[in-house]
Amino acid sequence: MFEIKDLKASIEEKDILNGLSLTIKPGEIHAIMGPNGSGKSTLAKVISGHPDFEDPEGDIKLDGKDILDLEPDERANEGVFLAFQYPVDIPGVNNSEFLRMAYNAKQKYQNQPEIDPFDFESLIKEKLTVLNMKEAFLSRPVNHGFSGGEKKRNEILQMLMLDPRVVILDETDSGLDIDSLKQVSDAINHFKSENKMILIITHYQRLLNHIVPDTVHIMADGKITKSGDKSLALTLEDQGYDAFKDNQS
Amino acid sequence: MLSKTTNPKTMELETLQKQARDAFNTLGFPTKRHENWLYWTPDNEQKALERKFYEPSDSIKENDVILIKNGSLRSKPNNNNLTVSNDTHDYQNENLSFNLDSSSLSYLNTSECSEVITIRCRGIINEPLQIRLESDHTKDNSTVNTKVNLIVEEHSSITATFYHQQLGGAFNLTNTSFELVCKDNANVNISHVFKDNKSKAFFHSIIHMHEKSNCNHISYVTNSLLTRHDTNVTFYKEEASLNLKGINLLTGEEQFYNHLTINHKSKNCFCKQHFKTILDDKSISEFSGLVYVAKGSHEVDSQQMNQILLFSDSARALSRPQLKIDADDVQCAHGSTIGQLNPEEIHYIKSRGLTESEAKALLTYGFAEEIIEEIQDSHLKEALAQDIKETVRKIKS
Ligand SMILES: Nc1ncnc2c1ncn2[C@@H]1O[C@H](COP(=O)(O)OP(=O)(O)OP(=O)(O)O)[C@@H](O)[C@H]1O
Ligand SMILES: [Mg+2]
Repeated sequence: MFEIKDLKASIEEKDILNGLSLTIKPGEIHAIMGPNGSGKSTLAKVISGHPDFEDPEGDIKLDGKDILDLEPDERANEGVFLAFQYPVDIPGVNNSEFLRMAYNAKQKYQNQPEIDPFDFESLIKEKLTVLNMKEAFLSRPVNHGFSGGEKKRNEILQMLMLDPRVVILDETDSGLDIDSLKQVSDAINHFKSENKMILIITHYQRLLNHIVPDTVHIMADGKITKSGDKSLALTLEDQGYDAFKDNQS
Repeated sequence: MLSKTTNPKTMELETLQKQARDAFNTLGFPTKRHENWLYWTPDNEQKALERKFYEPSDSIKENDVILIKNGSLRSKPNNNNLTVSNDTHDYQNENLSFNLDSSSLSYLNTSECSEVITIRCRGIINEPLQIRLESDHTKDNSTVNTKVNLIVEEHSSITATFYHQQLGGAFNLTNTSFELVCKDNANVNISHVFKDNKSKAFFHSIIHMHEKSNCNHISYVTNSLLTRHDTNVTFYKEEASLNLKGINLLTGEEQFYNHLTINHKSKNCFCKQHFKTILDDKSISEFSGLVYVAKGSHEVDSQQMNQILLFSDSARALSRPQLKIDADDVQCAHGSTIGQLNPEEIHYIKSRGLTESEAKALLTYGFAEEIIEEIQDSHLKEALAQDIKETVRKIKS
């Protein structure tokens, strides 16, 4: 189970998350929708342990274990994965080499031996096929010169390779063309299983036609203001965010 | 000073040396009067002349490696495409400059060297050749002056790595001069490694580029007290191409001074200069690069870039690129960048399970990769990647 309780975070004395709570059970997919600047990416970054947000208050627990005090790499190795809204490019670092290092970091964390290079090669090829990505991406520097959509796909490739338990997808659908959206959605559905927990941040109802969420949350001013089933996304598309403003604040 | 009519080609070594000594005595070590040495005054070295150090070699052994110790030739390989000697006749018909048109440090070198070592390549040498320049003098203020020439004949090709190793202390100086002649259609890959040096190292590299010659010249400085490189390049004929690159990894109070002069005396030549320096603690790096394109040297393409990666606020970097162009239709550009590792990139890598220090090492490697990739000697390439990891691991911040 992935639990966020009363999470508060600020940057430069500006409060961005104002006591956000959310629980995802194994096998569930949740979606968060919310206006620009409502704090969705901040939530994702705080979960990943981004250094910009110092000492957030509240709890983030994975299977009862508090991860809020862990380093970002420890969180990752505990099984938390964030597909970034804006993946950074790392010139000079080879994509498949990077993936192999990340894969082996997790192996090491779990006291497992490094993966055999041939096994790694076949594993990565299998995942490339799932995503319909060309092998040429492997020999290029991480995200360097990738198009917007290619970067998003590369995030999903990393996700498939690292096989995390908790996944936060921050606007992975933005920038994907119609066919890519379909392929990436298929890959996520393929990845989904009874012990995975998935949190999708999106602006578009469209994605939720492909990946059906168990719960949809509306976020405003750093809080969840309403939660409901997938029909909430449709209502939202109809009525806009104004109808869901947080009345208490 | 030396007169303009001096022709090193026809002069006996002794005469050359005497002239160089006179020139050095007049000039002395470079001070702020001669050049902008902002951080270091060579007062301690004033006495260096009196304490020159060398051990003449009586016999030259056969070995895979060319070993030059304290300025004299000790071993050389048995290779049909290679002649290595300390015989003055071996360079006399070459148009070597003998540093007689440059700085006082090169006068010092010519004046005090015990022998002139000439390596000549005729044919194709595929396996990277190892050349070790070692010095182990320890007497305070003593100087070793090593003089090496590498002559690559027409249509010949060589890959060679020079390891400059000093076992002396902070008050010792090695003053090395390296003269490289790339004859017509020669193909040359040279690396100079300055690693783990406890004494000061001055290195003068003089490169002659002839028609259609092609040269990659890479320098690598790490864990070395004080290193100064003076590189002078001359393009004589068309279609010559030179890549001058360097990676410098400085920590503690290490200092590195990099001075380039590129002389385009012919049209239609290409020269790229690209240096990457990583600075931590209170280390200092200085770069000055002058590109001169002479009248009539059209279609010259000269690109200069000096990039600094700072790991500490107390480290200092100075960059002084200069262009002097007397020809039309040339493409010359220069630039410099200075920056730190990007925290977003560090976080991205950490979010994939790698530790902070692994993330920094990866990004630092990424910074230098462009240049590392061009190293032909695969052993050197691996060692360099390893050094970067090790150094970054030690960085506190
Ligand atoms: N590093 C930062 N410095 C200052 N303000 C920040 C920083 N990061 C986020 N913010 C502010 O926090 C608020 C929430 O930003 P966040 O990126 O979480 O929004 P979002 O909901 O993801 O928006 P979008 O839908 O546009 O992606 C914004 O007002 C933003 O300007
Ligand atoms: Mg966002």
